[in-house]
Amino acid sequence: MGGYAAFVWPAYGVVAVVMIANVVIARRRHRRVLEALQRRVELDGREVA
Amino acid sequence: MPKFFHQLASPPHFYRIAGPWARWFGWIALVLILAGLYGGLWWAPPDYQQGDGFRIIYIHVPSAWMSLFIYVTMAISAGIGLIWRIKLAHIVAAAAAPIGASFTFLALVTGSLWGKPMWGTYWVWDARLTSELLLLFLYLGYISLNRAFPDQRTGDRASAILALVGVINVPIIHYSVQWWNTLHQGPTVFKAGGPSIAPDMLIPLLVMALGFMAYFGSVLLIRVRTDVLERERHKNWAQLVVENE
Repeated sequence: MGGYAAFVWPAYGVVAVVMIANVVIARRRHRRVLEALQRRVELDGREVA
Repeated sequence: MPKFFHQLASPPHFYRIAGPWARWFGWIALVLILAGLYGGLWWAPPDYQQGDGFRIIYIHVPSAWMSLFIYVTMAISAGIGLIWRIKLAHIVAAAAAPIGASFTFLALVTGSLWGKPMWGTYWVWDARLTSELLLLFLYLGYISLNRAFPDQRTGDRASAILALVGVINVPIIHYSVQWWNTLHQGPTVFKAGGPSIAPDMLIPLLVMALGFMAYFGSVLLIRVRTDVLERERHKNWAQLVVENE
């Protein structure tokens, strides 16, 4: 990187971390919301029975 | 066309089609970003003044473009939600905000890491940098205001007004390098007379920008799906989704 490695790689590193984290957080949140709603449906079912 | 938009604004329909779209955008983003990385880090020649240091452009400029594009997207959706009371529009605005804040943060950090070797400083309070920092605060303000009320509808409306008022900052950021004396360089791509950058350097930049755009589409759709499901959890369609997924 012609003497600029100390600036170029950290810049690419931060971008990679933030962009991957955004995907992971969004997908995990979707799964958690689905699971929480599924648990509630099961609970409701038991109360009715 | 009106029928298309009417259907799109219906939460169950949106939830159903957004899943595959999010996946497609994700794959397109991955391919374009990998191609852009190859083009920017290896294929493009070093700059005659900045050597390899200029390669930060391939993440800095797309991040900065996205920070503005997402803000405008957010403000337009929030405005649509405010005027026509379309719930999905508020959801889109709220889902876009954290992604926009991320890109604003990345534009600031990568710019800082580029500024140090080229200008001799990580930060300077000039017009471009200060207005971009203000953009980050606008995003954070929107996010906290949107979540600040027990009734989500109040939060949607209050934050929408902030988003619309903040739009004034977008042209300020864009023209800041022309209106004020600043360390930041002027526009190289979107300027009168066409881009003043060699095609070898420009092509990876455009590929990367398209990749970031597809990435935004993918993450936005995932987030909107989650919010739609959560807000509509008492509706029949949401119950069906929960039971069948």
